Amino acid sequence: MRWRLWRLWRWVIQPIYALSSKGKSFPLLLPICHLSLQSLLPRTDCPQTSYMIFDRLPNLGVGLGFREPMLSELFAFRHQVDFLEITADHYMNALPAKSAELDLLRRNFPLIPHGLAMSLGSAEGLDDRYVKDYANLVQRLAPPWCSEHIAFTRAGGIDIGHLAPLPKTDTSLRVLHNNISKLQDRLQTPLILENITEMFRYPEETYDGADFLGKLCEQNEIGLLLDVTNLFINAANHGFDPVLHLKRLPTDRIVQLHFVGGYIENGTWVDSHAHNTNAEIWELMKEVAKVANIKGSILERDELIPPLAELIPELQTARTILSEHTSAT
Amino acid sequence: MSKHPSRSQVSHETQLAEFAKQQARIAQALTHPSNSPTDLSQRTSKSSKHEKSIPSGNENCDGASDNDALKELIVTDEFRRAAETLIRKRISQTKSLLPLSSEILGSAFATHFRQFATNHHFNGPQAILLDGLHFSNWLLQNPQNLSPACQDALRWEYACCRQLLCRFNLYFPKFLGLHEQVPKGRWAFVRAGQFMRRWRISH
Repeated sequence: MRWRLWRLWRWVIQPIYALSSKGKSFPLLLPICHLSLQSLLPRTDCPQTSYMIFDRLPNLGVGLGFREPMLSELFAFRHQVDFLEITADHYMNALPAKSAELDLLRRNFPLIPHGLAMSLGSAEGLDDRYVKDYANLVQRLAPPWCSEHIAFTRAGGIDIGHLAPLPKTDTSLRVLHNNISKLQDRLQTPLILENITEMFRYPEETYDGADFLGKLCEQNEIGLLLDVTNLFINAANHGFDPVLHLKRLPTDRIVQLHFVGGYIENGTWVDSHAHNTNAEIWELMKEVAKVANIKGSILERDELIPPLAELIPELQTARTILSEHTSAT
Repeated sequence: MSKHPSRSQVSHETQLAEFAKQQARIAQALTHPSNSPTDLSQRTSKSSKHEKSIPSGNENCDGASDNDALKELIVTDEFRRAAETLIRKRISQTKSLLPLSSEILGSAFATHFRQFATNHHFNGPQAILLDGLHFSNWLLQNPQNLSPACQDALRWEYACCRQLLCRFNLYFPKFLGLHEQVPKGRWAFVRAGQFMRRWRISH
């Protein structure tokens, strides 16, 4: 009997487990190998993007872009922060301490992963390892949606370390479409993309900003993460009317907002992520709330982070604006 | 079906290749601003010219004529400001890694860093740490202009950066169910008597 059991163990269960973990496991140390049967079940992480209907996403409220210095105070203001947006890059391949931090946050808040370095606009394509890590994180968190940027951060073997704008041409749209499709093949979660601050503009472009976003949404199943501050700053620096621009956007695709303050330096608005939200940005946010069904808004402070007690009133203002103006429609 | 790609496919591929080159040139110009070929006076004159130009109908950013457009773009004030933003971001991040040295050096810290950044740029998620490590080392290579206190601070902060870059981790084997907390592909170092043993983490 024991010999039979041993043969079953050695020739049936162990090979199944070894195959399921691609031979990288420790097959002689597997008293719980029955768990490997899970790997025989059909995979569920197949591309499933056709069901994405952005209207059906849950309403998360108003929250904070989480940064490490906020952690100590965050739980004191737990009931004023509806959800958190985490920077995905900080938790991909994380060390145990970061991983534990993520678990702590996940237990207490709804989390939205926000990627920085996917470089969806790179003509040389996506970094497979980054995509895999991002997809693993999204799978682990199971958020209602995840987000990235309409930009490129990598080209010719150089990491720029910042979000660089794309020329608004058909070639950019084609590149974005290819990269978004590749990313969505790995995700089960709706993807939304953020407009960036355009620090410079290309001399010859086929589309303007609103048309470009319209085309992008038309060609891809994506939602929009509208950064109200970026929209305002682009309008101020490049001389267009943000409200008219907003009305030409595919507003039914706007899922989430970002907001924070900026400042003027030498006559140019700078997106510093280090100041309180300006009155002009609140005004623009009211206009956005009138035309879009917003599912969540995030205050995005990266630098000069004050005590949370100073940020909470901004969340409250955003909440008031969104409730008043959304209900008016 | 023909094995050869159609003319439109070839033109798409050519456009993509040109686009990739253009992005590489932009990345190079943004991260190494001082290597751009023109001086400030040229920049100012060209930028004013560019600011007046109006985006035209169906033209795009591909093709030979656009190389000139790209050259013009790189010397505009807007582009220069973008490059300046990037270098300021790097300076601020490096200051946070080298707080003592930055306090001792004051405004000279940024000046030195700008010199350093003309030839040094790092990729990947650890770029900030590598900036801190290599910048402190670069300063220590010419210690004549540095006060002894500054040299001590730089040595200390260099060691701190090294420590942050070398992660000493223990890993947990898969059967304990903790493997998901430990990243793959890193080395784990463990002291065993007077020797250090190391393991490559692979699940």
